[in-house]
Amino acid sequence: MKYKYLLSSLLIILVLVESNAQNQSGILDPKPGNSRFLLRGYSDATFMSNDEETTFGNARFVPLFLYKQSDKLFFEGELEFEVEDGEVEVALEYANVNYSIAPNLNLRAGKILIPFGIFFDRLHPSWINRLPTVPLGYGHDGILPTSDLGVEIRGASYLRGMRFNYSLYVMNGPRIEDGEDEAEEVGMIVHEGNEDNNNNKAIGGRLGVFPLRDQSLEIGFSAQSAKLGNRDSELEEVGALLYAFDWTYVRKVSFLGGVIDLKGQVNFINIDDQTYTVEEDSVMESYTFDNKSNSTFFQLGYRPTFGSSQFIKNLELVGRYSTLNTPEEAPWESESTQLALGLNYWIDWRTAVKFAYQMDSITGGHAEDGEEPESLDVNTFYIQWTIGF
Amino acid sequence: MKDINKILLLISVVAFTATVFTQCASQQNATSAESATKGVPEYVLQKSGAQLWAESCIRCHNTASPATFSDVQWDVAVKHMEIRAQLTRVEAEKVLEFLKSAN
Repeated sequence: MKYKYLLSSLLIILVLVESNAQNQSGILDPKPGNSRFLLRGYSDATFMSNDEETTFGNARFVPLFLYKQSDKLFFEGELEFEVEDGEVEVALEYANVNYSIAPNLNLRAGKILIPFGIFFDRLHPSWINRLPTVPLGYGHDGILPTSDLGVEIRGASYLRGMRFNYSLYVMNGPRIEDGEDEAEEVGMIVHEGNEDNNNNKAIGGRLGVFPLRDQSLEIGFSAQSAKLGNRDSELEEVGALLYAFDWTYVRKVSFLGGVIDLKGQVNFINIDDQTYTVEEDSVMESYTFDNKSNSTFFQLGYRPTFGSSQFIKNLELVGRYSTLNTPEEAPWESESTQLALGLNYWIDWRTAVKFAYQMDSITGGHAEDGEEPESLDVNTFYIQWTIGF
Repeated sequence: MKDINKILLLISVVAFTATVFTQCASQQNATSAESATKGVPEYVLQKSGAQLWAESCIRCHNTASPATFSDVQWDVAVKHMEIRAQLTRVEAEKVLEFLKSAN
């Protein structure tokens, strides 16, 4: 109920302020011929090989529709067509309308990429992501937010001479796995749902600051709070607090003869204490655990730019180390690390062939007393072709 | 402890929202030209569009050639980046001017 009043009040204020401004300047001005449509997006195809399989794993076609109706109104919508395991899957990645309320203040509504850190909001398209895979914890089945339905204000400005950017959002929010369908995942946070499971809304945001005047360094902090349980269920009041730190440092370094690109993010997911009771093999099992997870990624890229050979200039070396730790004593308890080393060849600024060798080490599974958790090491070689358009 | 975290988060959100709205409301009352440059540090105003283009794009992806799109297409692409990549209005206008001039 409080969200209804909060959102209604905000919208009324915005409409009054905006209508006053339009009366003064006629700024919306959607004259015929001023609107602009642009089709962009990307596509990729991936080959992978490890001890288990050697396969042309998947291919994607991801069109991005952009429509600028006026200086104030803008639409972005991205579809994803993916061929995986012999089937074509279609997904709406995001679709939202943006209204520029004032310089440096935008209001978006619809399905939005959640600005929780930098990876999913900015880096996930394959022509931007420097490796064929995503860090641990991300992706459609990850423990970190991806996209959701809601409203957001975002923009950038200056405070005491320092540049900053900001996002604040209210979304439907994640849910919690109650164990009815997937007993071994009970207590896990689930960010992608087909329907809103309660009246609580996730509130969150991100603040990024640029301490250096050349914008080479950005440091960000994100947080999100939400209740997870289905309405009228015993888990309804279970809440989650997520927060993350991220950083980006990109700079031409003369003595290294190229551009270094340093990025990273540290994520924490804290879910309220709760005892979960689930039915496993017709037996009721109870789980109580400290429901805290975390994940990280540290990425370093280097691209030579000052050499004389164009072939050398088109190369890029990338390394990424990533971790994921899920709660001890949970049925889905795990400790995972991942090291990915890549070599990219850039055909042009948005087209690349990526070669990568990724080493995954996973220790997980809810072991019985006295038993050791299962361990798994998987080394995979990838080749990915990607094109942005 | 959980409640304290949530209260601190809520206070931060409210305080930050109030600050942003106050600043932007004052900008909205100014004229268009004044509003875009109000509060922008001198060192930013002195940067060229080419410099801002080089600094901004590379934070996420390789820098596009100005010849990639037509002037009309750049109108849309730069507006998209103003929103998605969180460029300030001054930065977006300077970058767009540079891309059109170099196209």
